[in-house]
Amino acid sequence: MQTWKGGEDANHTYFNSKAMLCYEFNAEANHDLCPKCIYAYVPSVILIKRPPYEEPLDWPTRKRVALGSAMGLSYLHDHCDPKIIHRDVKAANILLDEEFEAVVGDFGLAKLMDYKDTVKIQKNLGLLIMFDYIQLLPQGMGTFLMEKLPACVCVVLFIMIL
Amino acid sequence: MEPLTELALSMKVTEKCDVCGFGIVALEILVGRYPQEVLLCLESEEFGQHFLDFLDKRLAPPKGIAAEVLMLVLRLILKCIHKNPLCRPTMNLCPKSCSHSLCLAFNMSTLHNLVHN
Repeated sequence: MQTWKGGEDANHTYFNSKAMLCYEFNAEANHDLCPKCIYAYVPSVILIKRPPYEEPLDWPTRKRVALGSAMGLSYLHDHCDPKIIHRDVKAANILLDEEFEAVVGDFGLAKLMDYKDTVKIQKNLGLLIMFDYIQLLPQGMGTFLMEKLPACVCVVLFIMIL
Repeated sequence: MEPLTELALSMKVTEKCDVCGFGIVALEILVGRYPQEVLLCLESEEFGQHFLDFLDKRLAPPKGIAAEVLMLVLRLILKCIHKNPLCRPTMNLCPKSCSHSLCLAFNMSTLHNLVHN
């Protein structure tokens, strides 16, 4: 399991910030009003592995993690337009915050699908990885981030920049 | 059984590969590590094993409502990782099923019962 924490410094400029790509499901969002992509960054985002000496998570917490993961994926499949297929769902890509809320991360292999298409034929997985990654990089990201920050309320999309 | 292997073999992209990935992640949450033994049992169709043997030993077994919810979740997980992608549920179904509990005696939880009920 991995967790992430945000720093408290709110004055970071774009170039000093780190960001993480993930979709967060928001049960209260009005999907009709949500922009299709909203980008945000969190200053000093740090991904850390949970130390082995910590107590193992109890059953109610684990249930919450599983449920959160399911809701996130359900959101991608049934509410995003176009539909998003993640294609690399594994434990390492389920990120947890300090309250153990689950967030689906790492969309490097994700695929966008029109709702009419139930199936898409993939031809070359290696090339798909490269092209999918390029597709997911938003154009004019810096400008977009600065302009849209105040609007990041309903649905949060973070971008991991390495 | 791995989602990426499935993608490579079938050349078709559907959301069912995410359902399978979710199933394995959820199973890992229950087992406390990568669920190799459970997957091997399922693949060789040895259903006699008691699932209690696979649960994370670092925690006491769940009791009461928690046990019932666990059994329901486990049954759902086994559907998620079904070999045939068409037999898997949609992700829309998973949160609803996880939120409700059905009565299923914990001591009857062999893989055989879970797979066939």
